[in-house]
Amino acid sequence: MKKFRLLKVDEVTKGFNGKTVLERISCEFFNNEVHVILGKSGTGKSVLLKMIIGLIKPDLGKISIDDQDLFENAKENDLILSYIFQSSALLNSLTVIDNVTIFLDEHNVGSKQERVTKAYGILSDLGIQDAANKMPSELSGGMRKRVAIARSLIISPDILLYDEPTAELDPINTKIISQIIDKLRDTNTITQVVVTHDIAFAYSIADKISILEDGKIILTGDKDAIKNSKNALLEPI
Amino acid sequence: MNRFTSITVGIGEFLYLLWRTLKSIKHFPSSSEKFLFQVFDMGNRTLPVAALIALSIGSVLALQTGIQLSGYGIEDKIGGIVGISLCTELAPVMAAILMAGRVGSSITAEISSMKVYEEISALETMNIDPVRFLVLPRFLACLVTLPFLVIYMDLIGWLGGSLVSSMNQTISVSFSSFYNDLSQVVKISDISVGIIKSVFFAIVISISSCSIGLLASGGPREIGNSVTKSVVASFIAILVLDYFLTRLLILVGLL
Repeated sequence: MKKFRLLKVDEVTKGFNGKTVLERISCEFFNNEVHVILGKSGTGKSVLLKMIIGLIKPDLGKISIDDQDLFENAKENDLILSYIFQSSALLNSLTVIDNVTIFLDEHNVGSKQERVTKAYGILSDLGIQDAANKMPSELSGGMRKRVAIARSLIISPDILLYDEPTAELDPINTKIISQIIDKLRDTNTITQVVVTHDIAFAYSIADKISILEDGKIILTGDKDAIKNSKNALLEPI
Repeated sequence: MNRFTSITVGIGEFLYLLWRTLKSIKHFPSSSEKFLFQVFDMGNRTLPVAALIALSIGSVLALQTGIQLSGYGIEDKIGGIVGISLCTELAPVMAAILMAGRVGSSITAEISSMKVYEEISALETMNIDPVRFLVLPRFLACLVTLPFLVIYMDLIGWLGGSLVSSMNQTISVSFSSFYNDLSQVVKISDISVGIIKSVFFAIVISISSCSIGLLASGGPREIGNSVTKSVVASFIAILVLDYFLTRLLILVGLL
């Protein structure tokens, strides 16, 4: 796993059909921190994450790792980013175990037995090893989310991006997800960037919080600073 | 976007996807398992219906033509007429229509659903090329399956024709006479005409179905729209291409 110091989003602007969604956004994500981007639905949180993973290109601005462009220098960076979709985006035609090993299978990493063993290990850590041979359609929302996390963890990512990981989940599953994020922070050197609209969940996992409002970051700070801030903009969220 | 622009864009997307698929053929060994699954799936979907269509077309063709021929006392020519009509035109076109309806539509439904539900984006984030993962196995499977389907329909259509010719009192041409005339008239080049056509049809069906699926965006309603678009586009393309291919094959002396 490669160490980096800083993932930086610098003055990034993105619009769709003439409407600006994100306007000159800047934020910094440091190594091995859990950074939550908090905001109402439709403020561009997912767009920001999709730009970091490279699914969407920014109209203006730059995303860099230690001052090197993240995408132009992708090979030199050698960093592994992984993205957990709000919908989980599991491949419905594959079993859970095949979903988890898909990256290793398609890139021929290790033997089939090694891949399956590694996948079972991760599924077991996440408490869903019994679902290994089920199809995604047979799983609950919380289990699907954990399978999506397992699929991301199997590639040993340096940066893990979560898009609304607790959306449509009940409080018990929300707690399970926050425990997983905590455990990853404690046992791995993974930078975790989480976008959510759930303030309580954000406070439960975050080292740092940025608040996104109308396409702009209006407040950034560590969890306690944000908690203690009397900023009125926090209230309606 | 007006209709002309959308057709032009559609053709552009088709050609671009075809180019990307051809470029990804070097990765075929890693897709061989998915390819075999697709061949099995396509065969499974089409063979029973293809048999029914071929048997029906061969029988009706023999019945209508045989009765006319018997009026002139030349009913013994029925084998050649049924044989050549089936292998040069009816079997390839009907097989392609069947493939577009049964297989092309399901390819579009599957891929557009994967697009709408972000499964394709998930593949991209894992650096897995959707063309190699999804399009290549379906393209190659269609390319292999359709020519076999045409030969299969030729044989069953001929069987249908021979059964009707021998059993119908007005026509009354025996099995041996039917196949004797068929073997004198139908040459290997005639059978190869059907196979050549089917290769082009397979390219059109597989790539257009995948291309329309990959372009889907929006909600679940788009999946249904994409399937309709894919089937209509494939049908039109098959019929237009059939005319130009026939002209080309006449030009090169195969017909």
